[in-house]
Amino acid sequence: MKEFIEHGLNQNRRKFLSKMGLGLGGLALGSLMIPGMFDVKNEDELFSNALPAFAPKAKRVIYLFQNGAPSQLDLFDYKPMLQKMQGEELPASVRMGQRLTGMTSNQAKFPLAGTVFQFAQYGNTGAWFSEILPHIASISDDLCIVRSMYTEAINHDPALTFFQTGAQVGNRPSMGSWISYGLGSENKNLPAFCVLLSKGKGNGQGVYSKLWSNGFLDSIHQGVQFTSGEEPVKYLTDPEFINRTDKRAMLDEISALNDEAYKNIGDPEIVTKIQQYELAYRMQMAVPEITSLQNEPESIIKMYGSDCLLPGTYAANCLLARKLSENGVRFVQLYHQGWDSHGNLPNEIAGQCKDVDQASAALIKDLKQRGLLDETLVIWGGEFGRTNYCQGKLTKENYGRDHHPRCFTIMMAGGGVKPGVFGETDEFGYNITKLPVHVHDFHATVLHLMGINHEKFTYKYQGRRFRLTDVAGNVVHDIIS
Amino acid sequence: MSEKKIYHILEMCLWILIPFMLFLAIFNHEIQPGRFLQWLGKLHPLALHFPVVFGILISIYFLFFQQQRIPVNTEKLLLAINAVIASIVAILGLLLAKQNTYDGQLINLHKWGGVAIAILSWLFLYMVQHKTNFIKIGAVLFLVVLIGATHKGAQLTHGVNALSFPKSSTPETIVIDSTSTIYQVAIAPVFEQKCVSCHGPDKTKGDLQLNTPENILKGGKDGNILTGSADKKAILLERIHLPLAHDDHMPPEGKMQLTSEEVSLLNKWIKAGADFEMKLNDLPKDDSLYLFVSAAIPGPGQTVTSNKNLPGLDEFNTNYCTTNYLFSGSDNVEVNFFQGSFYNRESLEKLEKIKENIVHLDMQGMPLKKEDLDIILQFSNLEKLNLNYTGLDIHSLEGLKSLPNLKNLSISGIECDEASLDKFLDQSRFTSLNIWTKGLDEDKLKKLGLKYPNVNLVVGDNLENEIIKINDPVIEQDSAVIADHLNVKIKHFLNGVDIRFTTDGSDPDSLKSNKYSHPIRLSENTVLKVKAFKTGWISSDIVQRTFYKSKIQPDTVFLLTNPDKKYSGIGAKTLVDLELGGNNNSNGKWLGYKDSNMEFVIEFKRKQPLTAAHLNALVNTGAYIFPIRSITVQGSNDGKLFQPITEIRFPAAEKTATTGANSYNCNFPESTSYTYYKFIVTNLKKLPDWHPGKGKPAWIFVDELFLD
Amino acid sequence: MSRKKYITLFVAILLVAGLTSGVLYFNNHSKIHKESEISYNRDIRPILSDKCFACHGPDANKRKAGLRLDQQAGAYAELMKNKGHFAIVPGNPEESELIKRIESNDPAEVMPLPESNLSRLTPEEIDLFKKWIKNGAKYEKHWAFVPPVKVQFPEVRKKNWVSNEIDNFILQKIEDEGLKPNDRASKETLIKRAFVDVTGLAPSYREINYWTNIPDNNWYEQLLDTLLQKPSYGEKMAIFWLDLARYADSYGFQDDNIRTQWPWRDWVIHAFNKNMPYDKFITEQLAGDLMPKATKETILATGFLRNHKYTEEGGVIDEEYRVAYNIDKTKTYGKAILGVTIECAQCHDHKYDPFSQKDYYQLYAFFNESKEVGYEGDVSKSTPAKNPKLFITAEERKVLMPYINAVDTSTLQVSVMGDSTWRKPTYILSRGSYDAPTDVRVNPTALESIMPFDTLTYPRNRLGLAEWTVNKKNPLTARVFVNFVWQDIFGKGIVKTSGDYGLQGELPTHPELLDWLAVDFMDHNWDIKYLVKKILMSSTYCQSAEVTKTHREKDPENKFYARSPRVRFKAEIIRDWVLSTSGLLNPEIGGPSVKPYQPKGVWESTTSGRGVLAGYKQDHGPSLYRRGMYTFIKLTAPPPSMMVFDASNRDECEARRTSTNTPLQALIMLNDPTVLEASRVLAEHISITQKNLDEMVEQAFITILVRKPSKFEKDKLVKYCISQQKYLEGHPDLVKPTLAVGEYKHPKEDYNTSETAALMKTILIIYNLEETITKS
Repeated sequence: MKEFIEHGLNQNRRKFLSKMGLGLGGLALGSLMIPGMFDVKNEDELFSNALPAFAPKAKRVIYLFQNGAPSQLDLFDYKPMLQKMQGEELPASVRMGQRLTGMTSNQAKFPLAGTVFQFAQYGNTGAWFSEILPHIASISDDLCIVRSMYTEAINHDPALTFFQTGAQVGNRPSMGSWISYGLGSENKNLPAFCVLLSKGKGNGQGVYSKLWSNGFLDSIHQGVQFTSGEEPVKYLTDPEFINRTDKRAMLDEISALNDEAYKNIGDPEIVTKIQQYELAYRMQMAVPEITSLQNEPESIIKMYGSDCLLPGTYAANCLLARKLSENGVRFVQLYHQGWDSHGNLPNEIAGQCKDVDQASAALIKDLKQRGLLDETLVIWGGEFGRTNYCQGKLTKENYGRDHHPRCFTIMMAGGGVKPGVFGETDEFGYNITKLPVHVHDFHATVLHLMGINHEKFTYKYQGRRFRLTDVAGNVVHDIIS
Repeated sequence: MSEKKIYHILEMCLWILIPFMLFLAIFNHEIQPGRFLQWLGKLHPLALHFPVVFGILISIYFLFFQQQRIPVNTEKLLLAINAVIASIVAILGLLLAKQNTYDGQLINLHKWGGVAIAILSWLFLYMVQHKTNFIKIGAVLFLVVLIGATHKGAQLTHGVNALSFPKSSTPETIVIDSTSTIYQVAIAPVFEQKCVSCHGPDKTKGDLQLNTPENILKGGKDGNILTGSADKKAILLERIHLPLAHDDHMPPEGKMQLTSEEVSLLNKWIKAGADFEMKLNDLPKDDSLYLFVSAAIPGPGQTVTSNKNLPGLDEFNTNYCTTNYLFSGSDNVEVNFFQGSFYNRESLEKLEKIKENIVHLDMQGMPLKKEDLDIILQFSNLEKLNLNYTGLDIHSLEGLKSLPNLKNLSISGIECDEASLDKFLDQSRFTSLNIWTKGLDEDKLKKLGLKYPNVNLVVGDNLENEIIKINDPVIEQDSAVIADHLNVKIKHFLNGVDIRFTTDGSDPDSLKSNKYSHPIRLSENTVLKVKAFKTGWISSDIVQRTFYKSKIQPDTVFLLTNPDKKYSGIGAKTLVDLELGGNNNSNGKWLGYKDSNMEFVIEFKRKQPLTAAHLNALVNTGAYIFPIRSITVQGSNDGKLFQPITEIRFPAAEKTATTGANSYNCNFPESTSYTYYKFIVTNLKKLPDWHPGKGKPAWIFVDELFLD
Repeated sequence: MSRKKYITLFVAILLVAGLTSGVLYFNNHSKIHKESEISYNRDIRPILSDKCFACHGPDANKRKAGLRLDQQAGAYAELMKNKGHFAIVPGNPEESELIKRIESNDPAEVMPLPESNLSRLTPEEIDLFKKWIKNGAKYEKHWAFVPPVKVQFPEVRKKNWVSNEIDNFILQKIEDEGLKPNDRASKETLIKRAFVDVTGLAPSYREINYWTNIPDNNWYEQLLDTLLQKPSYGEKMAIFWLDLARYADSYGFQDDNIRTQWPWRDWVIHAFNKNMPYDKFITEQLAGDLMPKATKETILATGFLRNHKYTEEGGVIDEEYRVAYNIDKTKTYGKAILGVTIECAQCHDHKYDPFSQKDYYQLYAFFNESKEVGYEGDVSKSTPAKNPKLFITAEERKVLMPYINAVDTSTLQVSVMGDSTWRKPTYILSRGSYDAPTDVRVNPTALESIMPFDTLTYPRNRLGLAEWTVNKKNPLTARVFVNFVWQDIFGKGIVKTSGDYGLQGELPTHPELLDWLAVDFMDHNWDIKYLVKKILMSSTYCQSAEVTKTHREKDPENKFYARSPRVRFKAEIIRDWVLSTSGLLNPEIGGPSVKPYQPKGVWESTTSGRGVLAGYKQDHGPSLYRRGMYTFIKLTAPPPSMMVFDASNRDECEARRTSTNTPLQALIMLNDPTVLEASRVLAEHISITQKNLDEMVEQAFITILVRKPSKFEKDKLVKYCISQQKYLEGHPDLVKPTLAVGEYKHPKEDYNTSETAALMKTILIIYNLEETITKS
């Protein structure tokens, strides 16, 4: 069956390749007569054609974005001082008049709130983990934990947008689109940039398609939304009354007729069109094969937790992420909602961790046992941190935390980052005391790991050269192995 | 053909060539030669050597050996030939000059030099007639011009120092390994690129040269530049750190500045004592200077062969096989195969053409045979190989051990046991082996790990025998309202799972309850309970859904009290639109009340006996939405005078109440029959103390009314 | 000398002449510029701006070595860092430091500096500079800031090809390039084009027959006049204006609740249809509330400035967003109406254009007067419009604005402009951030470098700004709009960067034409329909789109319009075409946006769970078949089928859509229920009207492609249709499901014949032809 289809494809491919050949041949001839007719005007393109510029440490990225900002103080950044000073006022000397969100700016007091969770150290790196992340803690020796991230935005929308596009406002391409534009897709039958969405039980903040928008780049670099289950990609599944053979027959008709049109009108665009239809067809065959869970051994199911069988869950998306990544998707972006615990934090965060802990760890273990971890960069983190003082009513077992851009923690694994704990915050967990890492630095580092110099990686639009890192950003060499 | 004839032809050519040459030379700026002429131009370097040699010979001949003369005609003939070639060469040169852009000065000299040569060699023809000795002068002049012009030409192509005496060359390419000094690897290049142009042998500003360790140590007019004191930075750093605008800032504004990396590099190096002999591997691996430098130099196994242009790899790329250079400039190739069901050997065979270049090969999931492996074995420079789930067996892999550079091998999902693995590892060169497959005993693998300490044996978790809970089955039916009948699908994604369900409210079990095979047809009010079972797994939780049959539809419904503006659904119709609201109270499918009770009346054309009514209402304590407090039902036949039928009170929500819609039922006494029924639905007026909004009234949200 | 010698000499001269002319012939075809031809604006400034202005441009803060190259004075002056030397010495390239630097091979000397990541100048460019300086290095004012003038249109050789002035300009260039324009396109082609470009809808089968068989030889003009009178013209024109005005049906930002700006959309459609002059069109949208005879209608127009996103995220800082909103207004005004990227001057002086940060905030000041606040509360307090709002009662609609198509009689709310009674002080914000105001106070003033803002004639408010904008002396307003219309018709503007006429924008391919059209447009009292008709009447537009070998070789990008461009339909038009050809289209005009078929979970998977738009509640009945422009746009999850076809995500003002070709587009045309339903409905319709299969296929083909099929095409399709019919007769169980797609009711009971099903599949193929959704 596949063979027969493939055969048909080959024939077609040969056909329009020859077409293109003819077309290009003609054009090439033209370029001889008019010198420099086909110079690439845009040196950005020239640059991006020569990527990676140096030996990449990572070939692919899986970004597990924890949307809504998980509390670093209840997961990674252990601050006994807060428990000691439970309920006392945050010293002004520490806060230094930092701006607050509208939610707490009118709050009279800022009582410090220590975490209710038990912390312990794990692995050779001795990294601290809260009791609600047992699985992640168990692989701590594979993790690169940066406790000194900081950002500029103090509200979700701008902060998310900043993290994904390098700018708080405006219609910029997202990180994945940049990488798609720079490196393209390894597997020609899949998009280079895929997006997976899931929701936790906690307070959700929503995600926005502009977070995976191609901005001013060609829309081929737009993130394509995937889901596990019946229809992995929108419009991918044929209506039930059209089967493969049917479809093939249809496509052959369409190609033949478009071919004819090309003969009469001679517009090369028509040839591109034919190719796009073939590519679409190959995608229709590739995606179900790749996303199907049928041939996953039971022990894998058990590793991710049986939720991974339920389309749309975080676990299912982690498993799907591995499948897409190992099939050559450059950038897989997950979003998991529900971390925005302004109140009732202990219960909410516990629930969130229950959703993500096992699957996150499973994904890293799974990549590792396949020998893929060293070439795949896995990132885990939110858009900012949460305050060390309580928002709303502080009780012994219950409290809430407001947004805190001054310091927070993200984790990375594989892809050429060095396991260990990097950066430090003060004993109140309010300010960074060692190795501050700005969002731009983070972007610069990820690009560096992919073999791209973030300062040279530009795209000219409306007369201005844009960069993912805008005009800033330094590669953080300390975390690169 | 007689000498004379040839001579005449040549002479005629000269009459053509020389003017043409002059034209080109004079209007050189105006013209733009077409493709063909440009191509001709390229022959210039080819042809020029002839007249050079010939020219020199001629002048020598005229200078010293004119006594023993050769016959004039021969002389003239030779001269003519020389002149023709010279002018052709000049013309070619002029054409060539239009294409490449050379240094303006040089090109001019060379251009006119060439023209001069041609013209002089032409004049010779007419000088030889009268044998005066200003032919000697001509010869000398000719020789000078000749050498001059050619030298300029040489400079154009081979650079300004072409024929000048070779200078002591600065270290251009250094072999980089961990034994080379940090100065060589990282510092010198910075100075070379950014400083030496002003602080070097040619141009020595401030008496400072930064080209050699000695000179650097010598320092400049302000003395030593490397050592600072506690209160003062080393001069070098000081100058670098001054603001760009500052006059003493180095490199001066307008010159190429140091990158932030380079600055901190110099910082760290000087802080570390500016030791010229310090070697990379003297440093601890986590030392920041080490990190910096090692980041700056290419790591092991990366041959950097930049600005070498490599052939394209398109011929090897198919829709299911991608080949790439590791990075631009490298000739190492990585190969990825995708989608096993489309694997065909051809694309692997094709790769034999570049077998030397392939360093990474990923064939995970390809259905491989022995034959495929034989091809792979030819990739002698392979460093990393992925054969996960390729269906090969461990014995067939023996050959891989012969690959000298293969360090990193992944064979997860490949059939093998401890013994065969042990055998495989014996005398292997691997540094890392990913092996994870069914039935491998972890402890034994641990032992193997100890037996082969220099192999990093990555063994995944083995969980088949772990016992965990199955996830819940999914009831696939959006609507919860049965108009005539409903077909309910139940889904579960785990292979070979056994789904049991009940419709009588009892909990399903794996024995008696009916097994789900095809969609369940519902036509009555039903509580559907579903549970999934599988041996080796803990059975799932029970999933429960209530389906309502709407038996009786009132003819009209009208609200006596208005719902909150934001939650007014589609008005009274909301209650009988046969659509449930789900858990989102603000999606326009709910009627929400807070400040008043909910009161509405349903009307029938004629008397309508009812046995019961069910209101579907939402609970979400977090959002201040509490259960209905009470429902009072009254009946009437004229729509004015209502008699009480029944009143039911419902328990308040506990702190732990789960969010979701519930049915609130009130059964009517026997033989209740009216044309009008009035419902008064009350909410909780004061939220309990445990609730953050205690004291405030609670919301109620109602989306549907069902009648029996 | 001997006779022989003379002959030789003679031959020699002949040959020299020959060779010379040979060389000069090649020379004609080379790109080298003669001294005389070198123009600062065309040849020099683009390079300067691209490679030098970043450090030696208008931005005083970023200026290096005190050197400024965007002005003659600066460039001629003695170098501060290098006394006795000059960047440019007019007439003397050798002495000019600039040449030395761009030619240098010393990494420390060469400009642009390697670390700037700008590639160095090409030999040709360097050559240009040398020659320009040799000629005295004359600077010119930036072309776009000089008011356009109507030059006498040029003479051309192929006179009989010309239909109106446009063609003179176009044809001249074509002839200069040694190209030939295409012949007039076939009648059928012109009909399709005209319908697409004027109404965006397909002609009915009857209309096709009527117009193809009309004998009259000025039929084409008649056609245009008829089409320009159709109400669908207003809809079609509105589409690109909605992109510029970033229209959407939700507030954007995280909870993204519903808003009602659609009455403003109805106003736009109405304005185009009654052919409101462009100057009025602009004035009302910028300052309808300040006009002397302001009515609710003119106030409604100002919704234009309020279409941008509004946050309803809990706990945002009011001022932060109030500033953000005014920044968006300023940006939109600049880009959509003046075609300048003024927003670049928000944080620092503009890097390329003569706009200082002060200029920016003076413009910003106009909008800073607005009453609105940054934050009216979170989603739980959300209302369909934000203050200041306009309330429109059913009564007012009946009397004043009958074109507003409301569903019921409830009062409508629209966000509109309204200034606070007292003058809000505006200060320059350092780095453009809301919490860093400097103490420099500025007053509302338009961009002086474009045209002086005389405070005696213009009031210092939006009305003044509007009057300044539509003043005929304003060099940009007319050019920009004319160019937008051109872009909408030809796929790309005469100025390709239609949103940037600044120094970094591209130069017009036909400057004289652009100016001529602009002036002509103003002379005809900003008459938009006149402009559209003018362009559509030109032979440039009417020529065939065939791409010959010569075209591909000499002008692959079709810079010179020696053929009519083949442009893929806009996302909305693709939908319109499918609906109108199948007869599904619901022609209703205006009103609230609708929710047609959409894949499951698009909204649900992204929502925060709050707000009315948390879940997608698909419409039923006629609302399923409204034009693409009425499809509900939820900013955080815009309709995927539109986005895939390059529709604007409406996040901010968008001057030009890209046109890409991706596999997802193929998937949509093949699997989108709308297309499937259309195929079915058309099949059912035809199988009723036509008797035999040949005719059925032919009618379907004509209806969709507006032309008769070639023999090849017809045979192929008929063959396929027959084979499918056979197949389906063999599998009767497949027939019903095949014809079950879509909610549209079946015309008759016994619809499910294998014939209809086969025809439907055939039609699906026709819908998927490249030509179907392309203007050719």
